[in-house]
Amino acid sequence: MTDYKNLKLIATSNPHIRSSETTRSIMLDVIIAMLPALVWAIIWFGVKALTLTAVSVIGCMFWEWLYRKLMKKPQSVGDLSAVVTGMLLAFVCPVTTPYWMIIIGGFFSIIVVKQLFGGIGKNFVNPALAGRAFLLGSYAGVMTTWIDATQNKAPLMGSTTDIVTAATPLAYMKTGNMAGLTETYSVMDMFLGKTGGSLGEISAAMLILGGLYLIWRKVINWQTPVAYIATVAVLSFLFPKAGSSMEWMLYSVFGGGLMLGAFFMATDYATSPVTKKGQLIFGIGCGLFTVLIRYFGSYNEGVCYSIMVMNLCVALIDKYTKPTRFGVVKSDKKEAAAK
Amino acid sequence: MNLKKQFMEGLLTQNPVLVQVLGMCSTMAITTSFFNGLGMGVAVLVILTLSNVIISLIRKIVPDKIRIAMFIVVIAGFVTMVDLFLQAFVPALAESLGVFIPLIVVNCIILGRAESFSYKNGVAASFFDGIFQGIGYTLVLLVMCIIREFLGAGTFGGGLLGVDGKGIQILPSQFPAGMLTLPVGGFLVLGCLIAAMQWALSKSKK
Amino acid sequence: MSNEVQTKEKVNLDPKYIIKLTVTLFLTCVVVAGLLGLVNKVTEPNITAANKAKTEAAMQQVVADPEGSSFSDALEITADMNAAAASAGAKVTEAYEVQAGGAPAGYALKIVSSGSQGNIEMMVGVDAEGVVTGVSIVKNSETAGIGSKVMANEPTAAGVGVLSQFVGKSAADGTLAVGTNVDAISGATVSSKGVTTGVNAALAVAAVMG
Repeated sequence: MTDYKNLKLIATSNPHIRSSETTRSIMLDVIIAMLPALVWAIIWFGVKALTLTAVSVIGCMFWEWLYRKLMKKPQSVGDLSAVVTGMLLAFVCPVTTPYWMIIIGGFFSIIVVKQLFGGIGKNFVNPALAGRAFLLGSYAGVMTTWIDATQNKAPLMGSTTDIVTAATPLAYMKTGNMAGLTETYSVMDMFLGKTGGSLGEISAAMLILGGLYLIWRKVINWQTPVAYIATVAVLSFLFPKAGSSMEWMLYSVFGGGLMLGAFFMATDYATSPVTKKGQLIFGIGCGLFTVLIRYFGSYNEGVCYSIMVMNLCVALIDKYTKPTRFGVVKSDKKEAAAK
Repeated sequence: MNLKKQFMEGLLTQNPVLVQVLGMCSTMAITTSFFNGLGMGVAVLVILTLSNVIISLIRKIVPDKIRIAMFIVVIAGFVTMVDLFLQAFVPALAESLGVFIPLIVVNCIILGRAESFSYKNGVAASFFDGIFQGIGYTLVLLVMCIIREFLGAGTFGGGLLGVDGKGIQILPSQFPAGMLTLPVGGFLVLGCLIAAMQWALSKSKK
Repeated sequence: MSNEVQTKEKVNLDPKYIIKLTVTLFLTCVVVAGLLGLVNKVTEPNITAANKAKTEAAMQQVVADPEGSSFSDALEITADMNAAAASAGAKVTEAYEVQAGGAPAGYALKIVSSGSQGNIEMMVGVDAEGVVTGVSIVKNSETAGIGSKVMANEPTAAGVGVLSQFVGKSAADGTLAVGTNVDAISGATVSSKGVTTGVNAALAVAAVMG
């Protein structure tokens, strides 16, 4: 006789569309998309880029595993989301970040931001960005030390006090020092990633490559990244702080973490709007805040905070961009709104 | 009067910070070093006890319509006195607590206890209510101070112990996460404490 | 509408009752105010002494000869002084005359300028010739690990403490500016600029005071 009770039949209402897409396969695609940028970071900054990313990934996986274990919840470390968080966290930190620090960042990302709110899909801001914000708030000195990779590679172990540092393109742009900027970095340097900055954010070319892969694989929609980058481009073209509009725009778009943020951070499922219209609004908001922080804030870079601010607005955006159900007419809508 | 029940309420089941969620502003703002927490806790304890006693004494003659105004006058009076005494005799504490001493006037714990307890109960019960609620508040402040100071600055007993009152350095100075001493750290630690308290209370009920 | 009013508690407009409320509240206030006056009388001397000691300690750090200097009571801030400070981009909140060996030896000025996270309150000493004798930070909220380095007078790349480098500067050096005649702590440009603005303001104010 068949033991119906233990058959594990899943009963859901129709329609019964099956997709081979799982969290795991999506995360795997994201990881693949990040590899070009990682390879470039290793070439440019040295092997420390790889080891730091590895430590970050292992740290995040460990925290995820530990929390689920201690709280006696179903194990979720296999869905690879912790791997993505770990990689993104390493990508937004300077390559000279000590290993212990990135593990603390991972603790904040995974335990505080993700697991305490219920695990994957329940976090209200991007865990990797929250981890970075925590590290920046806690260890501001270390988190704003940018190695000059043309002079020296990042040391694999030990002290980083002797390294030669360099100002990032955004630091030049903050003060409007266009002459110093064009002398140090050409637009091509910015595009390829021959600049100073966080581990994975420097090469716009590699990140665009990864982003296109994600769009092609239909893991992300084009709306958020395009709206985000276009907003920054238009605003910086219209209001250049120094130099010509075109030049200022190109430096603004390729500088800092914009590409990384637009393709990999702002598109996170749990913390971005559901509808395409909402994603457009989300991207425009991110772009607006990024430019505002870069122009008027006390930090050089605004990508991290702008995405986090917009993450908090997602519930509102979703509410106002909710598509009308089929068959609902205007009077019904009014009635529903009045309730 | 049930002293044991009042004691348990003040410390745990009706803890002013973790269960009633009163007095959040000062709790998050000043819990960055041990000395601050202790000073603030004791200041609130003293003011709460005194105002509880006075309000309980005058509760029969205060017209119902103006009771809130009367409470505020009494509380503001005590707060100003404590503020002046601190400035005169413990200037270091007055300096580091700054505006939060005058702000005790609007600390919801004191007004809350006046309205919900001492206005309805006898002098002795109100006196002990002030003491126990004050202890409950102070204990939470101290726990928060110890956590935030240890994780945020790596020290213990800041403002009281160690060289120049900087506290005893436990963690080497490059490790502590400075963010915990910022207001955002106050929110984080308080959130975790409230969650832990609710969890413990729900466990003990079962 | 009329129904709603009736269901509410009736407002007691009895004059006697209102007078009773007023008198009770008034008497309470009188009693509390009296007590406060008493407490104030007891604590006032101590508070004044404590504040004075604090200010003097801050001033002693910024004069050339801490042992032999004495300080006047706070001087009146004139409109000229305010204008001079404002034109340099900061505010002057307190001013004291410094006396060394009985002779006037310049001024100690409390200046408030803006840093990266909020106001920086500092004491700047300027001698009779208009030369800076010292800078010390009274209050700040700069970022720990970056701006705090400036506040703690850590050495710049040139090896001199970032606050100490101002000693000896005067109006003859022109407007002080980070990058030209002032070194900043790497990464803490905004905080360094805030202090520089404050010193500029102090020099301008001292010049007005003569």
